[in-house]
Amino acid sequence: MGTKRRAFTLVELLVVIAIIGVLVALLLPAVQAAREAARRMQCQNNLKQLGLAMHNYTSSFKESLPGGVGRYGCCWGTWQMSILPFIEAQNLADIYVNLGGADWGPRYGTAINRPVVSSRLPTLSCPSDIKNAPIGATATLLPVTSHNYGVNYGNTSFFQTPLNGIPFLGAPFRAYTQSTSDDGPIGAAAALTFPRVYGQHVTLAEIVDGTSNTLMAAEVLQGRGTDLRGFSWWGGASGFVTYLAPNSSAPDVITGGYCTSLTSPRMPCVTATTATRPRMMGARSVHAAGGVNVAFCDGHVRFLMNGIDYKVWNYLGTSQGSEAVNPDE
Amino acid sequence: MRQHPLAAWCCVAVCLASLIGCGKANPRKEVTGMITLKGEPLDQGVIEFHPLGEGTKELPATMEGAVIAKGEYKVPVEQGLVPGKYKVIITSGDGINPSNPDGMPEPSGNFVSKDRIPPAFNSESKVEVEVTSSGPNRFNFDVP
Repeated sequence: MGTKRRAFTLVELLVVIAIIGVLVALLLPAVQAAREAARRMQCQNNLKQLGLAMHNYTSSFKESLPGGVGRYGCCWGTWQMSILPFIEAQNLADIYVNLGGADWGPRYGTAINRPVVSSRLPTLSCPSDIKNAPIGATATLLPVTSHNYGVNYGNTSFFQTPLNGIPFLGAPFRAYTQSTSDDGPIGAAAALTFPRVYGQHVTLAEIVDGTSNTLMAAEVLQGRGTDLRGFSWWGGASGFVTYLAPNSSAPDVITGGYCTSLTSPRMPCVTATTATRPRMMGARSVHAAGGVNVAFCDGHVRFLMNGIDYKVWNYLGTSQGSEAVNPDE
Repeated sequence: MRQHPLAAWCCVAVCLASLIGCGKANPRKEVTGMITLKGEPLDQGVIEFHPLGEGTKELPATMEGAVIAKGEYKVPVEQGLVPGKYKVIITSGDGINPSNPDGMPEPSGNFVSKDRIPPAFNSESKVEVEVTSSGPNRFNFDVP
């Protein structure tokens, strides 16, 4: 038996295993990153669908975009109900009642509208974010869902008035415009003499900054539990403002005690509204790249980084600011 | 043929070493501080830092802020401020918000509460701070 057997030594085997281990360790994060990149793409594609739905809406309704909220404020439908027929949810649009009305008819959370507001719209859900458990179930009522997109309410607050030295320079969607409070509840009688008209429709022609220079919609994060971020069937959570930078460390404002993520670094919030810090929410996401997906009013979508120049971000939020702006610079 | 084990382990060590130390220093700065109202720590509120300068092209200035709790605030370094000058805005509602008895979000009266901070610290603020790259960026404010 003079022939020597050809074989690997133990050390050689260990080295091979170690190298394979290192390669796998290198690869696994890349796989996870690729998955997140795919999710981010899906979130961006949702925004594209949202943009197309808005444009189909304008084609059907005299060149005007839907109102951000209803004429009387919070609770009688938002843009989300308005675009249902354009995101292949005509069945839901058909059964929703009192869209844009007031308290002479049901609110969004009334039993008759619950089948609509309890549905989860896949087109408006970003898979990067955790879906919040639907809110407000009772023995007879279905719970209400949260989603991941808000429309552009301009560069100040949801009240769309000048704020801390920053002038309000137009927005493609109107919310609690010119409000000094949340004005409610608006009963049927009060609605007849209601001094303000919220959620006025804006036509594409009114976006004088150019539709490609004005944001239409952006990602928002869903709150946890009764935290109402992303609760976009309701006016108070139906949009974002560019007063807050993308994923800002400055907190959102949610009135009425619906801020339960006080300590979350990703989505800080406060409940107390003041004249210098009225109702507002920022564009937020959990994407690892550090930014948010946005759609512009011409329908194009892109990813904007957190560190975007605040001035540029502010300009992109206005529809009538006449600023010279290039988000690539 | 037999390889020297030391050489093999060296290979492994080099592979592992190549995975370490690929971080870049964060140019953003953590900002902290203490806010008092009439001498007492401000229990709750919001502070914002609005950029007065442009920043640089690579690192543009952005608006950041923080929730004030028990007088303290902290802008975390991940979302920190680029060095430069900032206008400070502080606001704090008196915390009197109507409750919502029916549990569903609907407005129940006027939600806008009275601001305990005078306009000199928010709507007409001329309070400025300069965030420096050397730090420490700790800014305390005494609101009268």
